[in-house]
Amino acid sequence: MQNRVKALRQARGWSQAALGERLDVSRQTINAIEAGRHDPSLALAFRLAQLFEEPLEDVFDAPAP
Amino acid sequence: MTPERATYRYFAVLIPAQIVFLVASIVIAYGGPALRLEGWRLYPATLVPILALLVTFWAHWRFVWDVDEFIRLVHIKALLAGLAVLMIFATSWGLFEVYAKAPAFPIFWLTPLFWAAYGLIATVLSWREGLSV
Repeated sequence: MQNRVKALRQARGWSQAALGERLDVSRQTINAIEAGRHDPSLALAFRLAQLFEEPLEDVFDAPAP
Repeated sequence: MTPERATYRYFAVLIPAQIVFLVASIVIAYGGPALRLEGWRLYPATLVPILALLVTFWAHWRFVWDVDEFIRLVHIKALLAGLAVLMIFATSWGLFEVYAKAPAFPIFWLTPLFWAAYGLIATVLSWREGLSV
């Protein structure tokens, strides 16, 4: 699943570790989400969207049906 | 919880549990007669390494829930693969025993086989995913 996590994070000047700390997940998890190697759980996706103050669908692209 | 903290908590239980397992196994195997560990007394004595094994699995269960969802996924994949190795080996050897009269395999070694397979697969998956745990 494509996402804008990297762009949103960089726009705020946060490192992957700093973002992970805010979400209580590891830097490796942020890295995997940004690289598209891990689709986050719904709970983590909502926390990401809330942290960035963006609608969920603006952070993550809905996969084609 | 950070992966480092989860790993610390894991090893803080794992290492003492493994020491208890090893020492109890050696004492039962070699010190039995000297310590009058014979007959029915061997049953409660053997419960000591078994309890240490249960504590080891509990520590691992807690570790998998302490880490975040991505690291948990990597370890669950490795656990499933380790279990597959164990089941395939046990079933294959069992079939050889039944059909080809192969010598009996001591099932005591299935647990070390599982940990070895799981450990190796977890290491490879962690390396592929850039994890340090």
